Amino acid sequence: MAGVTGPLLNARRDAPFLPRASQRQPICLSRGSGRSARAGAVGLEWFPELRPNYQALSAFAERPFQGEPGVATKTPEGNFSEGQRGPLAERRLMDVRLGELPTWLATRDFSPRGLLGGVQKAWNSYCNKYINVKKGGAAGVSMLLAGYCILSYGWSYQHIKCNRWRKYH
Amino acid sequence: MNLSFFDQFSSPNLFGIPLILLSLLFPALLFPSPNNRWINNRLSTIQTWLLHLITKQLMVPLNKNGHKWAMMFTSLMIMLLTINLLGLLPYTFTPTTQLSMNMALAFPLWLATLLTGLRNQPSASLAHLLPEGTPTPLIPALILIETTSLLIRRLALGVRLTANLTAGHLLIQLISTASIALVPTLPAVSILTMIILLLLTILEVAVAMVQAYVFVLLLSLDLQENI
Repeated sequence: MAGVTGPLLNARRDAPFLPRASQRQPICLSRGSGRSARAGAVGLEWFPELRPNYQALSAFAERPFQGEPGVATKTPEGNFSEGQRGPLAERRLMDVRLGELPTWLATRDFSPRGLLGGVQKAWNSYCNKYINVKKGGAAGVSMLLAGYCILSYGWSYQHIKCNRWRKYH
Repeated sequence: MNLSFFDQFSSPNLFGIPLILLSLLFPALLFPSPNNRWINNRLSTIQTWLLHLITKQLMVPLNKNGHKWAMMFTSLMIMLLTINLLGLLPYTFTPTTQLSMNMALAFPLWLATLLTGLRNQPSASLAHLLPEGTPTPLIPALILIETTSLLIRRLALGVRLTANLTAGHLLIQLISTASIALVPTLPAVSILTMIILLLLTILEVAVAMVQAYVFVLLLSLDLQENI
């Protein structure tokens, strides 16, 4: 098992703790010498995250799997968390302070491709937070439905406001 | 006066974009695409279970050639089910109340089943136009009648969906208007009306699901005859 610790240090950025022998093969099927201990892990090849070249066909591209986020144990310096430091262009919306908002907006990419990427990211964040969880409830879908109702109301507001003073409906 | 009751069936526009576009695209957001995980999130699991149930139910009477239509029927069923159920939410617009949309769904799909039958087994398809045991002088008239009935059944397929949903929505609006109007004068009658409204809403939910199912079932029966 000495050969396993080597690849652990040379792993890719998005799966640092999974050993990898080559870019093209799923992790557990990588050929190596003396891998009899890994013969039992054959079923894992169905996980798309273990195949680096997996291309999903959906319109909403999934974020690559990043493992379980670790719990922060250190107190952030100066009361700013990890995401709130660093260059402005690389921060997410929730990490931008209010005074920096116009500057941050100027750094954003407003081309159609950039907007589409932003929409995809927002949708994936929503799904990962409310739907792709172990014990998801009705809240994830209910918020979508409520948003749909509100959007429909806004869409037909010009027509509905005539009903306000109508005597006979 | 009465114009307001039917206003819910006209597609509202915002800057020239009709709401029907949003109503047709929104169901796609509610169904996440299944990924390759062994255990999915709950929404995907429920969705997969529903899809399996629908596909099994529709595909059992069909032979092997008919199974090629599985994706078409299942996606049609899911779409109609979702659109009908979403239409019961407040302020939403139901595209299936529009006769144009239902006829656009019913006619081409039925025509496809008919043409499949005419292509693969023409004599058997044409033989459906004449019931067995007809006396010989009646044959020409009966063929005309059967053709007309075939066309009318397809018309009815589209109209049935429209009429059921439209009637349901209209009834809900009427009864809710009545119960609101009665609250200041006769509160007891108003409560009675609200109970009726509750029962009607439950009925509407059931109707929405059943109508979608009936639509697809009749199409699959057509396919069964013709494939």
